Amino acid sequence: MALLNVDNVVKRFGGVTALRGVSLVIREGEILGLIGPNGSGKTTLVNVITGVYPPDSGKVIYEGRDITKMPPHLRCRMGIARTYQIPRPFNNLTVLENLMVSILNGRRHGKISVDEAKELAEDILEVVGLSKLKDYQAKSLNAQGRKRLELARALGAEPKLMLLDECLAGLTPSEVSEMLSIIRRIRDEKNITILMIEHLMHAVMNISDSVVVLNEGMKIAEGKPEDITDDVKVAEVYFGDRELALKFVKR
Amino acid sequence: MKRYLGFIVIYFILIALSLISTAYLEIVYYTLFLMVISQSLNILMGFGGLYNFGHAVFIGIGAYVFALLVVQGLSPYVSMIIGGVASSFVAFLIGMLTLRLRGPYFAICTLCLVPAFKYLIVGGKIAGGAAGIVLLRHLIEAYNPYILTYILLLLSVIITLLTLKMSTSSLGYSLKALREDHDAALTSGVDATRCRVIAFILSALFPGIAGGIVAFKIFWVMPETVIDLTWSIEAILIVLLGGSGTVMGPILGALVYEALKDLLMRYFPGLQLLIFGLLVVILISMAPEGITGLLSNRFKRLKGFLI
Amino acid sequence: MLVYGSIIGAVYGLATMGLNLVWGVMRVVNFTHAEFLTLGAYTAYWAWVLIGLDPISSLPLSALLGFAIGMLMFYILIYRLLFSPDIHSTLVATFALGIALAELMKVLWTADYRGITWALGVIKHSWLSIPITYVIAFTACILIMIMMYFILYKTYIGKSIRAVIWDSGAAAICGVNVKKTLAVGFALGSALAFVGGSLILVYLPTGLNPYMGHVYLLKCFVIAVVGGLGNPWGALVGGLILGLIEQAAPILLGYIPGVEPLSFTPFVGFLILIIVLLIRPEGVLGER
Repeated sequence: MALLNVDNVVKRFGGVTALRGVSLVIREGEILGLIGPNGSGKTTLVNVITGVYPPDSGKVIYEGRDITKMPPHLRCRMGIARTYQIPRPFNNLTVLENLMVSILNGRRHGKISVDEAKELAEDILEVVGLSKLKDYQAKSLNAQGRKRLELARALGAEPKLMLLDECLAGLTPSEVSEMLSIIRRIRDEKNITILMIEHLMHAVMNISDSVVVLNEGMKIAEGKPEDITDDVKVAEVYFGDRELALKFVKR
Repeated sequence: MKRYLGFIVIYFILIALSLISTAYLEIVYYTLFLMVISQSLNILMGFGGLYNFGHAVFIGIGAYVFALLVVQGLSPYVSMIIGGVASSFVAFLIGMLTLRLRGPYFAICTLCLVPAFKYLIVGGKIAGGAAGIVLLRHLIEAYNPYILTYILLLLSVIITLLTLKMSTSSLGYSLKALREDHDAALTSGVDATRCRVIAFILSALFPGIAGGIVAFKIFWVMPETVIDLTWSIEAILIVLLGGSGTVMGPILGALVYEALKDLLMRYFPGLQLLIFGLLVVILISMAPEGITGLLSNRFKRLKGFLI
Repeated sequence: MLVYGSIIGAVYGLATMGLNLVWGVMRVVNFTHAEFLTLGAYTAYWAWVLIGLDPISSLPLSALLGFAIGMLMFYILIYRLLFSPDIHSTLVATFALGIALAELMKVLWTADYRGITWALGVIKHSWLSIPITYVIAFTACILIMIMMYFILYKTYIGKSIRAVIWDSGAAAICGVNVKKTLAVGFALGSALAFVGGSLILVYLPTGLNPYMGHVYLLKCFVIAVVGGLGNPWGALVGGLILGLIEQAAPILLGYIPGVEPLSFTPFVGFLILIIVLLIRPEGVLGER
């Protein structure tokens, strides 16, 4: 069952066309990996899905509803949450308070009390491993802490769909494993559908149910991870050289 | 209970001072006035991160509505409250227009509001234009400086309780999030416009009532006297001085500011603004968290009292 | 009336150019701009009184002084505030500094209104009569703007400034010393303010006092926003627009009963500001 349907979205910025008619489908309960070289439009696509940028043409359909014109905060309340590639914590608020913002404004906006929110916040901090730091100001966290806070804050909105933008970037290998297991837990225990933008190839191929490849604003491939690694077009895009790509794929 | 201690102490001191003599009453009156306008500005500026240079407009509107109603024979106390409501309504209108502006644009736009309002009244010859409305005969019998001062005290207490409640409420968290990172707040579900407008309206209610009090005190409402950019600036200064975003901040700020002002008036008359200007520059560069910030860092034990 | 408006508008534009430049280069709203205008006017005044230089001849002096003070202010104050987490720091600091400076001027030179008497007669032409001093000031304006064009587009430092406006990170990678460029940008903006102030004195020969900057600062904001904050030429466009409106408004408003034209005109200016901010916040010449 399709949870999110991106239909032929085009996005231009002045002279640059970041997205040239991208369509994709995310099925409920799956982890979709979104990969592609830098500048291929991955983050722009996420921005369009979350409502930060309105598309120049095309539609975004979520749970069967056309949300193309919906403002970002309403999309969040409908269950779409995101993390930012470079973490954007609410610096002068504590870790706990950061979570409170998304919990109180998320899916249960207006229906959840401050006390209930606090309980939920502490549960989520447990899941991402930030419990000990809950009263520290967000600006005092290190890189790994911030990444986890991004994740926690997105979880706070109690989403059905989470868009993770390079949440593994800058982490050490052991931190990456930890993060991956947290993400798996999120999908398995809370039944959240996930779209992951990632550069870490082994991580993406490892965890994704299906993969979509973007290049220069267009989708050039999609399918299961095994199929993508065998796809010449994808290899070419990454190596920049068709010969090399063919050699790589044939091995 | 510990969180309230500081506030209770301060209010007690103020009441005690006000009973000493009429001279002290004056000082307490003015200090409380500054407190009310700063605390109310703090709702928008401290929590929401929006620098409203036009805060004084709300005082002016409150004063004018008060005057117009009193002249019609309405009780001054009721008129004050209606003045506050009117201010809030105007805040709603202005807010819908200006709150979508980003930081510095908002500051510039609101800075223009005060003179714009003044020119509107004088140029449009509204409510007596430059000559204003004289209230002397309507109010002279009802005038009681003690009542006016204690009304201000009451207002301050109300705002204190309101902001205390707000800091741990959905609105408070949302505003602070908007202040920290607007876009990240949006994608976390915060309805920016609604939160800001509510904060704006709340911040206008109290100066509106205070405007009525000012009018009551001076008996003559004129553009020159009730629409004064100085109040906007003093409010912003006090919020920064005391600690933007804290509940205790504006209160301490007002006390320190008033004390400093009196001191300067006695020893360096004529140079006050110069010294204040330089002080603000130093404040911003070295102690952006204000007095509450400095005290919290220096004396960790005080942290609980200084929210 | 059209002519008059354009002439005044050009000077307004020049006075605002500095503001636009500083905003574009470092996203700083320099509230001290008001006091720079006043100081520029005072420079011209004292040059006239003490040395006998007419305001146009003393322009280089004004510009140099402005540049120096701008540099000083940048290195002492502005640079460290650029990194503070609160975006309003520079705003508040320059605002406070401005107030302090105005008061300083009051202490040094008293709040009395002063003026210069520099009159060279009047050009008369059918329905038009313009004081020659205005024409000279206008010409100076145009010349200075042309000079600015050269500086910004033909010199290395000018190109650096434009590069930094566009993308300071990229500029740094290309070898541009960003800090120095920002300093020059700020100083240039200050110099322009001083020069603008001197020229304003020509138009307002008897209105010099420590607080005059504030009146013009508000106009400058209207101009800057209408013209487009990041673009120095936007100041020119905005200035012309405001100049024309200021001339036209009193006449038009006179037709509306119950309205006091002279006081209402500034209100019209603010109205325009609000409308522009709502409909097209980037102004006429926009910014990225």
